[in-house]
Amino acid sequence: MNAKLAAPRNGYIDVHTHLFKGDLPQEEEMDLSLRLATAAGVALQIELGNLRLGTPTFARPDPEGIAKVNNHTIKAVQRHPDRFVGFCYLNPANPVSASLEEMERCIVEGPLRGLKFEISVNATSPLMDPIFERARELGIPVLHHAWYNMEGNQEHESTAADVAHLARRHPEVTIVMAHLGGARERGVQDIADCPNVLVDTSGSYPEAGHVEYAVRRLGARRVVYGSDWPCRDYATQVGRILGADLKPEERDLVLRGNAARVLGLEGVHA
Amino acid sequence: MNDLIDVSVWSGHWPFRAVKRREPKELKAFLQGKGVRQAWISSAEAVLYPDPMQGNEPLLEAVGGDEFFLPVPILDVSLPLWRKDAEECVRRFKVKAFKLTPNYHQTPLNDRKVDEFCAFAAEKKLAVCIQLRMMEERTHHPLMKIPPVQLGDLAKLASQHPTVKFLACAAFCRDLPKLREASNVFVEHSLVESPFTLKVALDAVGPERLVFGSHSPFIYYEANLAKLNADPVDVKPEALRAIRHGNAARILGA
Repeated sequence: MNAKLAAPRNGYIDVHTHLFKGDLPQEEEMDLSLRLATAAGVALQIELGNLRLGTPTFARPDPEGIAKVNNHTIKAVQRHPDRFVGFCYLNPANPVSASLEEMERCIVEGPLRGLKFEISVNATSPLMDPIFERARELGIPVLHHAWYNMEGNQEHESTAADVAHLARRHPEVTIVMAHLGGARERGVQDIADCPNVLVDTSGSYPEAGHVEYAVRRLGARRVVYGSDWPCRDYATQVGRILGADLKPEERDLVLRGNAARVLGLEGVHA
Repeated sequence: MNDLIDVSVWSGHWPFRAVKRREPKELKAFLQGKGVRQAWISSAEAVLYPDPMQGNEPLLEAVGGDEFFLPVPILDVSLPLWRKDAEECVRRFKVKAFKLTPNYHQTPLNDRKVDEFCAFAAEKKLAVCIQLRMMEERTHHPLMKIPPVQLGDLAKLASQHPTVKFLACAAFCRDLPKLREASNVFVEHSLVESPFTLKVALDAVGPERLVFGSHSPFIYYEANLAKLNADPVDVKPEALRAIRHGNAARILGA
C-alpha cells in the first residue's frame, strides 16, 4: 500500500476530475489541467480516470478496458505525484476476481488510493458487495456517481437513494457521492442518515442555494468540493463554494479539509 | 470602480427554487458589491403568470427612476394585448428591451406573432432578449419539463430581422456554434461553461457579441465572475472589456 501523502500547504482539493478531453495528448492535457487548476487555486485533485478509454458511453468496460483507464490514471499520478491522486475505476459487472485483481494491481501494488464507480452497475446490486468488502479491508475511500435526471437516468445509473442503500450495507467504507447538482435536495435527504457518505459539489450548473442546503442538512464535514473538470470549469465550480453563504470554517472544510480527511493526508486535522 | 453591466438578472419568486435576494433593493446592494454598475432585470413571476404584466408592472414601479436597473419586461406575444402592453412599457417606463420566454408561452420562434413582435421591435429600435431556458432541463420539476429554445431557430429569426439586436440568454456552450453567422445575436454567458469558458465562447461568437450575464439570483455570482479571470493568453484585455460592459452598451445602440 502507498505511504501517506502530505497535504498541500495551501490551496483547494478537488475530489472530482478527469483527464478525458480527448482532443489533446495526455501530457498536454495534464499540463492544461494543472495550469487551469492552479489559476483556480486548486493544489491537489483526485483523478478519476479517462473513462472513455473503457467504453465511449462509460457503460460496461471489460477488464481490458478497465485496465486501459487505470493505466492512464497511473501515468498521470506518476508524472505529477504532488498534484494528482488517482482512483481505480471498476466495472462490478466484470467477474469479481477481475475487479479484485485490478484493485491489487492498482492499489495494493500500484499508486492509486481509492475506487471510482460510474454507471456500469447500480449501487443496490450485490455485485458491489465483495468489492466494497475489499475496500473496507484496505481502508480506501470510494467515489460513486449519482443523479436524479429528470430527462431519465441511464440503465444501471444510480440515484442518491441507491447510494444510500450501498452505504448502509457497508457503513465502514467512506463514500463520496458525486454530483450535488444532480442529486439536489432529494439526494441530500437520501444520504442524511448515512454518516459514511459525503457529497461532492459537482453536477450541472452552479445553482445558488444547493451548497448551503447540503451544509445545513448534512453538516459542513460531509460536503466536499468537486468540479468534474473537464466537463466543467475549475474556477466556475470553485465559485460555487466561494459564492455560498458559509462560515469561513465551513468553507475551509468544503474546499480542503474534508477531502484531506477522506484521503488521510498527513498534517491535516479536519 | 464598478464597470460590469449584467444583462440578465431576475426579481421575484420562482416556484422551483428557494433563492435569496429576490427583491430589487437587496439585489442592487448585492450586485453593486460585486462590481456591477447596471443590471438588466426581469420579473421571474412574469414568466408563469397568466398575464406577464402582472409581474412586470410591480417591477417597473419598483425600479422606475433607478438608473442602476434597466427593466426588461417579459412579453407573451400569444396574448391579444401584447402590443398595447409593450407600447405602454415604452411610453411610461422608457423600456429599451423586452424578453420573450417562448417555450413557457408556447410561442415558437417561427410563430407569426413572434415575427410581428420583432417587426415592432425594429420599428421602435428595441432590443429583444430570448430566454432559452430558465433552468437546466435535467433539474426540472418532474411534472413541468419545459424544453429549451433552439439556438438554430433564433439564428433563423435574427436573419429575418437584421436591424434588431437579439440577446440569447442562458445558452449552453455546446450550442454556441449555431450562432456563428448570426451577427445580430449577442450571447450572455451565465450558463456557458467549458474547461476554459471565455476562450471557447469567443471562438464561437467572436469578441463583439459575448456579454456578461449572471442569471442571478439562480446561479452563484462568483461562478460567473470567475469566468472573467481568464488567462490573458486566452482572452485579450480589450475583449474582456467588451464582455464586461462594451458589448452590452452596443446592444442598446451606444
